[in-house]
Amino acid sequence: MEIIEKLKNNKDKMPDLQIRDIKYKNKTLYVFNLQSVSSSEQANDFILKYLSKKSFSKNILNQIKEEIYNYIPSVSLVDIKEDEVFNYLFNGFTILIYEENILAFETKANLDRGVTEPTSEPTIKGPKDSFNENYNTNLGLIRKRIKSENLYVEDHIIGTETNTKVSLIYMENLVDKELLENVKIHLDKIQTDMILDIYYIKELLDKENKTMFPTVKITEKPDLATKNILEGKIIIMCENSNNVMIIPTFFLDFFFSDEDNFQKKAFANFAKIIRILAFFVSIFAPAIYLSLITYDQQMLPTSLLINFATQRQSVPFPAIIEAAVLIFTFEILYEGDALTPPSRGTALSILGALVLGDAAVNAGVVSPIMVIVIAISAICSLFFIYHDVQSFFRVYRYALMILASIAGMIGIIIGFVFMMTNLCSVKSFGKPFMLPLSPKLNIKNRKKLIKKGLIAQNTYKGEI
Amino acid sequence: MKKIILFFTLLLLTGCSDYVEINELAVATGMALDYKNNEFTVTLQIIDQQSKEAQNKMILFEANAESIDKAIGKISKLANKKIFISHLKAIIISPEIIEKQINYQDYFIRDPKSKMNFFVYTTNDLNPKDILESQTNSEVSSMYLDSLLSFNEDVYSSSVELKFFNLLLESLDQGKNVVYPVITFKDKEKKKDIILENLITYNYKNKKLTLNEKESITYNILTNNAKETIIDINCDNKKFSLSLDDIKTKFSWKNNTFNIDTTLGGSLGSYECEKPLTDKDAEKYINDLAYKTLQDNINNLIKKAKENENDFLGIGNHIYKFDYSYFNFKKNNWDQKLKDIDIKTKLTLNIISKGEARFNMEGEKQ
Repeated sequence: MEIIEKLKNNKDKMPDLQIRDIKYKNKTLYVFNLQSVSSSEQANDFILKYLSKKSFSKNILNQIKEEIYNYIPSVSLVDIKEDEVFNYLFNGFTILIYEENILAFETKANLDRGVTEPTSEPTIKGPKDSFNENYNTNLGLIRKRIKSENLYVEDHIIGTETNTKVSLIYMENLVDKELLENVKIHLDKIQTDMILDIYYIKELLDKENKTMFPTVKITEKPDLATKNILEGKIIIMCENSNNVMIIPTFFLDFFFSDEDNFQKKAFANFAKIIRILAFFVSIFAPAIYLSLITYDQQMLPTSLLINFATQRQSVPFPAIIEAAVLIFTFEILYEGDALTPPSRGTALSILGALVLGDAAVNAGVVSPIMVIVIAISAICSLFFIYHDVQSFFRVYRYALMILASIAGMIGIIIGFVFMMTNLCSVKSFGKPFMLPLSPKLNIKNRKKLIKKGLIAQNTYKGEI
Repeated sequence: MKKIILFFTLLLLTGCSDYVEINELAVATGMALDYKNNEFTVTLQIIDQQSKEAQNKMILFEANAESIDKAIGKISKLANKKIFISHLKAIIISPEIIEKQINYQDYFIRDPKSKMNFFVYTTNDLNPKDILESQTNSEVSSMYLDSLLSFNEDVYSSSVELKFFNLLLESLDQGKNVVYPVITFKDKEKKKDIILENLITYNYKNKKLTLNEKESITYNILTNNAKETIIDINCDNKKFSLSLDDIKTKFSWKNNTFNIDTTLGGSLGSYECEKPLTDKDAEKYINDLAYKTLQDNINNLIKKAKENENDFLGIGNHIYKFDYSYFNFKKNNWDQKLKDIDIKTKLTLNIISKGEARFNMEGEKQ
């Protein structure tokens, strides 16, 4: 057959291709697999051992396909054609070729690290397993939590060179059908040559919205993913990626964390209020301070005004430049901390403490109150673990500072109105983004949904 | 993209016109006004930003001009900084300005930076500048002047908290004369500590009327300005004291008689009388004595208002609000008509507690 010649010629370019030919009287049985992707132990145990033990007679050779079909102890056995040989080889299958019969067995190697603790989303009380790079493990972690027939999985293959498997997971009786159609249309429109990770899909799906705030959420924990599936959302899972994408997300999803389920309701609500306050403080604090110092001194109480004045005596720059210098050093520290390996982290933190601390104040470059304001703003923004929200904070913080230094309190109000209208006009996959807050809808089942307790977070179960 | 560029250029063209650094401002906290020889004498107390001591020091500046605005401009020339009036705490006016009815309020209404929430004081015979001077040399600043009145109202209620905005409203209202608080020195020769003295009003003929301490307390009781006071009551050569709180007064005008209802709650402070407290009629005894004293105070005050033709209680104001056609306030003078009004008073007194002890020393000895 041609395929045998082709494979033998490719041995130079693919040195990990293993070819084994077993001769039975006049005819040969070929066994191919790729050493890097398939485990040779499995191939040896199940296939070659069996084939070596059996004594073949002439009659059986003619029916070898049925023999192998019925007697080899391997669950996954596929009858394939010549075109699909390479595809199956790369996926880790072992290929048996005998006289125009091609069979493929699954013998995948375990190239992953196992189920470990999540690194970017710390948990205190809940389960501590996280997704890893193996597709089957990820699917298994979801399946073992939802043992229901209604869990549907749909596969797509995206990427012309990488051919990665991307699948949609949802509950059939809870999901919104229009949303599903919408997502499928979006996925089919993607034409690219590489999909290495879930973040590539995220960029391609998220292009329509003109806002800095992210409209899809990516998570690493299976219990969060299953909770969202049971609320009627769709999950996109990609091969070789240890993250999973949740569609659709709303604005308030970034303020809720799943730790709230394991505590009493009063504490959880208190924590949510603090998070929302931290959101506003982080964006508005430097801008409000700047406008109070330069344009609206009437709003300060007198003793505070005098304190600020005595502190600013020794500083030669105007307030906006001082704030820009401090924020710039803070951003450098933040980026550096993310990229340096832990062996060099301590030197960076010591130097950072010098700049943002007493030494700068004593040198007369900045005033102590400015350091405090910037530090409060930075601390409040570190509350939000999700990385894309940080870019939202940065853009609006700088924009509001510039507006405050030009027009005072009125500039801040203009910025606030702009930000709110921008957020309220965003639609994430056809549904308004600020859902429980912004359009007030009359829903009949609203009270029932709220009474169910756990479901009260922000979902309407696809009934909108 | 073009919209963003347009937006930013618009912002650059509009803003930045009233950009002021904090260090270029001279924050004024106290002011004294005087009027002599057709000229205002303005004294401002300004905080010194360069002193590094714990308490900020004050500097006084003084200037003369025909209008307040020009005087403040001269002061900013002396201080080399722009004067900032928004944080003004109190102004002290000399009594001549009130007697001659000079218009000093217009500057504070019209200036965009002034907030009309500072306190207004007068002096009896002193120069208002002296009071500010005594403050600058001591460690206490004029920010103390605004807390004087709020403490007084909470604890002793012998003076009136007069803010500038309320002064404007009362002077434009019909049927009430404005009552000013007075500030003086404890020792007039040394000129050191300041205290609040009693109240002053002027009637339509510009005749001055002073109320002493007892009358000031009764005035506060009748106008719902008092929160807590203490009164001493005689009982057969000895005294006992009551601390009053929960004070409410209601005015009503029906069938051409004016009714004043006051309710007071009190508790015994100290009791030195001879009648033992454990007697059956001790409560009635205390109640009767207190009732008589308070009723006398109120009646004497009303009599004083009628004799001096000065309606400082607001009786005319209440009639103006509820029965507009009874008297033509704009053409005739209400103060003269006050004698003809029939005023009735009613008092209810609840003595709630006798304190920690149910007996008294004198009673035990008997």
